[in-house]
Amino acid sequence: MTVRGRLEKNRLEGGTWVLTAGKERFVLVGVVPGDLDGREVIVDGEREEGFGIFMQGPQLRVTAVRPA
Amino acid sequence: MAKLIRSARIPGAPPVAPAARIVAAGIGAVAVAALFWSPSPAPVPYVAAEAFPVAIAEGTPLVIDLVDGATPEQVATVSAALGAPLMLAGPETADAGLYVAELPAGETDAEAISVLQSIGGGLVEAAEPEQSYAATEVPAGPTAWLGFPDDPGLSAQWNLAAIGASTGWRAGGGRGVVVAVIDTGVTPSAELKNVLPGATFVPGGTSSADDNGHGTHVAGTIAQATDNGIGVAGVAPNATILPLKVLSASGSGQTAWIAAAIDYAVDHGAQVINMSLGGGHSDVLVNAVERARGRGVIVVAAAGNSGGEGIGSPADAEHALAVSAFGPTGALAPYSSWGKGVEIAGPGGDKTVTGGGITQAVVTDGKVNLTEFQGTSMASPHVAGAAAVLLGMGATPTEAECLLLDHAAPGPGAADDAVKFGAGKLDVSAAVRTLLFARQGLLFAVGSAIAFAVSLLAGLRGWARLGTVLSAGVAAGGLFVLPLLPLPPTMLGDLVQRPFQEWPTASFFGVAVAGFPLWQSAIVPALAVIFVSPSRYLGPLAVGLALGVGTYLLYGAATSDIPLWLPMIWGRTWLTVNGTVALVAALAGSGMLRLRQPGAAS
Repeated sequence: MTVRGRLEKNRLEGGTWVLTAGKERFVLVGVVPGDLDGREVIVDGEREEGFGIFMQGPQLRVTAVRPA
Repeated sequence: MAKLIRSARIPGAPPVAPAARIVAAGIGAVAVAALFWSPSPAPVPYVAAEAFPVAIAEGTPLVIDLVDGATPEQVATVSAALGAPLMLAGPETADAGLYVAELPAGETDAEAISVLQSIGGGLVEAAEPEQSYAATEVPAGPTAWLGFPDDPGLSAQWNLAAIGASTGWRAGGGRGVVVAVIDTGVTPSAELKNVLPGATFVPGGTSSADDNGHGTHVAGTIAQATDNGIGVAGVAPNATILPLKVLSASGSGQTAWIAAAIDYAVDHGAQVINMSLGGGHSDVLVNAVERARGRGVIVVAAAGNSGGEGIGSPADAEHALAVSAFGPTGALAPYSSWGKGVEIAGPGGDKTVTGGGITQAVVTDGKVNLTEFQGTSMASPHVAGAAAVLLGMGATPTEAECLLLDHAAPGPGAADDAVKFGAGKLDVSAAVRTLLFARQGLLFAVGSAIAFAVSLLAGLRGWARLGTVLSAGVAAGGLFVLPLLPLPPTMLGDLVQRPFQEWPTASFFGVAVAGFPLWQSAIVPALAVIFVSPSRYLGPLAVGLALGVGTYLLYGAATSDIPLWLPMIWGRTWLTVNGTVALVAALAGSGMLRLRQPGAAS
């Protein structure tokens, strides 16, 4: 799936990336370029319905991130 | 309040609310860091001054966030447009593009922001007037007494002071209790020694070692090596960790792995399960939690980090202790999930406050590092550690849960406290004190009273009466006030603060062994009476021992507080018979003592 939203570095649970797309929030799993923090981005990835340490929303396993 | 209505409130124990003071502080790096790291939704560029809750005076400096890695030429462009030099906001803010500008006399913030808005190309990401932040003073960590504990990082552990952890350290610190940490794994180190081999449920995994850091941090909150001269402390330093790896290095895992780990924990002797993880609702996980609780295992789970209402699984299981998080001020942490399912709140940290996170040891590249984390994942193990302390003292699982909930400290007093804090904020000290007085104190008093009555009946005088009464009280309830004294815990202290019947079990072999029927019997006191009671000096102690043990066993028969490896009805019968035998032995022994007293034969 492809999601467009705002990328934000989040310091919860040791740190993670969160993508806010409208009312939905995804925890990004995988490699995310650090210089896109705070930017509008487009993320390609696979939504995962599993469980995790971040507990902020569904996880999105990232295959690619690019600026919007 | 909560998913469960738990009864059996035990009176006493005033709660200890953590100090929460607000002091004024400067701006500078704190303000920049707060802007840069704010966990709230991303800052909106070009926020007008009136949008801030704090009044901003005209003419204050502007903080300007340029694109990351802005070149000197780009900085000069902005400076020229503004008509003011741009200064780095801090010593390491060039890469982040954070600058401060003093505006020329007569120019307002609004005018300057308007100028900055006109610069195109995405060069200026945000600009706003500098403002003072009310910095929160993080409360100090627990006080060391007589050099205990000597962990150098203790002063940073405001979280342990907030829950009164030191009382739990002196009350056995969870000795003999196994706590399963279902997480990313656990890596043992000099700072985390009591770790069982554990298991991994992640496909392809070969060990329960931690490849993320989260699980080791969580385990550290529960059982960090304490008073070892390095690092920091934990809530229940004598508890044993059973690491069950269900989350991969990325911190994610699947329902089946977690459910299997819960069952594994129960089958392998865990008395407490901590799950600092979550996701959407899962009937499978809820059922696994209920199975575990049905077999006497306390299950503690993080409420979640959504910052809003609603908690997921496994915290939403009816018999899970769902834990929300509060920060160093005592307020609910901004990230913490909340709702009707929240049972209790624990310290989860708030890193918007400098030093406001939860510091524990994490192993990275083979080295132990102290690391600050925040999240409800950090709050949950505080509760799990507290449960371990209470179980180690001899509380039943239900009793431990009731103590934690009934003696939680009140929230801030808002109308929504019940959904945000559940029963309140974790207070280990209050729960421990209550258990000491309600169980051991009661036993001490009853054992002493029975011994006094028997002494009078037998006509004992002097040392015979005094020794018998003292021995009976200590045997029945132990030196129960010992954990309330500011003394460093020792193995000897751990022994003598407990009832005699709990000496070998909790202190050496673990509480699971406490139910061995031959130990929960009249054998030892009866033998003591037979062989020692003829002694003028030791005889009164032997008689007192028998009276104390008899009191303890009969108390267990009446309350089912003593775990026994027998079905309920047989267990009660066993305790009743043996308690009675111990009392009869004491009566016989006191008769022998009377005969040996001067003038008794005349």
